Amino acid sequence: MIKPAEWWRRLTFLFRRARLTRELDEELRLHIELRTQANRRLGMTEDEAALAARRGFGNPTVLRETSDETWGWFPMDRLMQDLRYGGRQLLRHPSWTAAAILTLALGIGANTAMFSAINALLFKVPPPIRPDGLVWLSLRSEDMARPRSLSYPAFLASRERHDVFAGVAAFHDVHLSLGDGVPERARGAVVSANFFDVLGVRMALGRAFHADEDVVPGARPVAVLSHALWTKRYGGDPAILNRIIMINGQPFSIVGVAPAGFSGLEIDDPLPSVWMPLAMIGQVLPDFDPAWLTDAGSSWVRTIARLAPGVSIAKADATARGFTWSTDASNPAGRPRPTVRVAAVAGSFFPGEREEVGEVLGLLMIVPVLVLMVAGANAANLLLARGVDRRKELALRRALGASRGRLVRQLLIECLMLTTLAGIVGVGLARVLTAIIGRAGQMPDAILDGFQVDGIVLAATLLVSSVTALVFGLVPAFVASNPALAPTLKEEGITIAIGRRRHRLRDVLVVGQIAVSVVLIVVAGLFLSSLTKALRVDPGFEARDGATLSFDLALQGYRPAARDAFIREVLDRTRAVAAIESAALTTALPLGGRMFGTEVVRPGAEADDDAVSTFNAAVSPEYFATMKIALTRGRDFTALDTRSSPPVVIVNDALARRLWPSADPIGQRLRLLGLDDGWREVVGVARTTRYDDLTESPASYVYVPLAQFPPASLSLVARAWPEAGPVLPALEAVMRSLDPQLPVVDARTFEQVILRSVGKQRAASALLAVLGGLALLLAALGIYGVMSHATMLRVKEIGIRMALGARAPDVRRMFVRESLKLCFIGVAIGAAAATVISKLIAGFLFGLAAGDAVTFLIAAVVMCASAILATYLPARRAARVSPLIALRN
Amino acid sequence: MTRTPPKDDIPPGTLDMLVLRTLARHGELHGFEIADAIQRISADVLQVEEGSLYPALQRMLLKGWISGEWGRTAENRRARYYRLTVAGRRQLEREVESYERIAEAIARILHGGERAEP
Repeated sequence: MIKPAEWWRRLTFLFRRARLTRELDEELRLHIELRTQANRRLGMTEDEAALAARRGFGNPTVLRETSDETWGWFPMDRLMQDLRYGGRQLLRHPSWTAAAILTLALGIGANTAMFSAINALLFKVPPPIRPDGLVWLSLRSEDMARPRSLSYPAFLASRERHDVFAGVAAFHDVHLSLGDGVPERARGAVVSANFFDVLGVRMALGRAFHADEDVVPGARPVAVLSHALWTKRYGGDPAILNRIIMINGQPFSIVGVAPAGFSGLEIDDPLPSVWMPLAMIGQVLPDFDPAWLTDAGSSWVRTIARLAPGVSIAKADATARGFTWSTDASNPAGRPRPTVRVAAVAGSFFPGEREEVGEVLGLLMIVPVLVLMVAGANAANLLLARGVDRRKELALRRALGASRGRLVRQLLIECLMLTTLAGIVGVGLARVLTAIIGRAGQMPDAILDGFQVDGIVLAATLLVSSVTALVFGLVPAFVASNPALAPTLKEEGITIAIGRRRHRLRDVLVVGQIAVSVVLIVVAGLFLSSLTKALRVDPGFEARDGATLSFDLALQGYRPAARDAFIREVLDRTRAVAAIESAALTTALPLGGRMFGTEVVRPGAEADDDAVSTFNAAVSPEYFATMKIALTRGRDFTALDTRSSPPVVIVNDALARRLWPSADPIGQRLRLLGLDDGWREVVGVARTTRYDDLTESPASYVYVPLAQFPPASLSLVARAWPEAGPVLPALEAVMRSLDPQLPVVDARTFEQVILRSVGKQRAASALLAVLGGLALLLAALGIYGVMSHATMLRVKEIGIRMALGARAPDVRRMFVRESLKLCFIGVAIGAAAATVISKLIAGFLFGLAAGDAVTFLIAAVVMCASAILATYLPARRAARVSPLIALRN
Repeated sequence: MTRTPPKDDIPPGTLDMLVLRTLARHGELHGFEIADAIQRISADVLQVEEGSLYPALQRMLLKGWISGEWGRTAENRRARYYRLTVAGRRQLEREVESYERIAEAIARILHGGERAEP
């Protein structure tokens, strides 16, 4: 136990140490003088007396250090000393230091980039939202693949449970046409009045919704704007409150502006920019059906809740499972009844989706970890090389009495300094990396904005840096701290003194580096070739010379008659454009990202369980000609297929084969459940295309005439004459001429549509390509550095060999042979590991067996080539050295 | 071979006690005088290793057992004179007591055979 008074004395010592050290010196001087006098009296000569007195004290520095140590500040002192010394060491070899820092920074940067992505997507709740006790409510049951939104009755039932929830709020995303003049397409959400309160979000301006604004359907058109919309569209005008904003052609009064950075709970593109009371849903959602409010089977209410004080998530979850809100009548027999489940709000995904994203990200996390391993091995090799160069210095310090532990600590501190600096550079690099990956993967800005380095990411980076320092610094430090003193100091046997152990360690590192690099190259290569193969897949329609854009007449308040007129007019005017060969309208573009499902039944098989699920689109005449989707049998829709003519349908190959494997599909009848009640006659069979995903297996699909389909958002598709040049501007001009106020979205060529559909794969491939490239660069540089350094160390040996008659080619061959041996071992290990890993990721790959021979071959060749080059060049240089010079050196 | 009498190093752990005792007897001494006094009083048997005397003094200063003050020697040289503090006197008592207990125990073991039957 140290008493307070003692602490005080220690403190005074710290501040007056210079004086106290001087005083101690004076005491010692006096003592030595007095002892010398005493010795003289015993009859020694002057010199003998002084020498004996001094000998009595031993090493004065040690003495001073020992008494310093008494005062308890010594460890800190030594640390400062080590830091100063380490700093000097790093500064003395700037290029070595820069190489080591940069190497580690790449590894750390790659990890930081990945951490920040994972953190933003899976863990962080965006700052304006108060995260504690905020939970998602979702519906789950055994027969559901993933959790669903609550039904409105389930939401109402949850809202009454004040015993578990302090507040329950709901929202539902809607697509909007926003503003007057030329409106823009935007996203928004209708929310319960307490939405902002439950999230703990305070308005930047104005107020959130009052409870009475969310009671009577359609009664209170009020809106809250996002901060981004307010600054972008209104220039941050403080007098925005009570102004009118047109939403879907209806006036809403602006009552508040949400704080900067708030954009709801889920990441989506674009982010929601306006919020309205849930009671206004009928006004902003054209296909809203009041039955949604009573049907326990329609899941559409995203529900969040704040837990009541003292209630744990586990307890809330257990309680919520017992909620009752539906009668048996509304829940078809035989199906497990869904229960309400509670899960913490973390990251920016709905439960279930979060887990799916997490799996992918976790898998991708392998890559930066591998990069870090390569970087760490590189740095370890650099440290080893430095250790060899510093043998003499370390041997000297050891001879002067530094303990081995002290040397190890010194080396580790230098290593930590390196990794800390590398961590700082790495965080900067992480930003660059996320930008590169984001751009290559065409990620929306909204997601990229979340990729910020915050406290948690910084802590993770710090941890990674220090673990790296320890793991990769410890072994080199131990090796370097134990030089064979005598030979090293005598500068003998430079070649021989490097123990076998050091060689072996270096070899292990080189082999490891090659192996990890092979894994990276193989994995990156597999993803890339999977992507190129996916892009080479025939989408089933002709992608060249095609263009599309989308619009929603219902959002703009078109009545049926006006809508029909608009549809006729837009097709006529588009077909009249000289460059355009044909044009059509559809509710769903293949690979356009929108899929509508329905169920099909045949006559005679009325039972629900015989229904076949399929996707559907409503298309205008000439759609198949425009898309160049072949009709294998029957006819296209024509202008004669109208609302009053007999209902008809075109099926795709896949569905035809499934429903009528042996019969002729033409003339058969089928019913589309949920779409309409009557029978439709099959008039044509279209070739199966890719609908949702280039790599999907053939899916069932039905087409109905646009005229026999309820209003929906439409895509105009047009095919240009070959070599006619871009037609998108012409399409946009047609739209403007018809209705300048109608927002037009997703104006793209067909090629762009396809590219976008593989966005996720592109992002993953981009990440892998960038990081794989980095790792390859690191490994090549690292191997070059190590090999050339090792070769330089053996100049003397080369001299001896050549003096004994070896010729230059022999020497070169010997070195190349040795490095090739390491290389083969590394490639073999790497290939084995890559085989295992590529089996793991096979689910993400398209069109190739997990062990793609070409990719493996490329990886092996690249690694061996860089290893050979890394040895050959220095070996050639060494072999050119005259033996005399080499030996004298 | 030297003609000087054989000198023993001070048993470990007892240096503090010897220094404290010396100061208790003589009042104020500087470092050399302490070493000299221990050697002299022990009839040249105990030799204070000078390399450990000064760290020990520093340690005891820190613990507050002794205090140091700069003064002048007979030859008018500056020297730090150490004296016992109240805490030091208590410490000395404790150490002497524990030392005597141990010494007695050791003696009993060494001479146990002679005093087998009381």
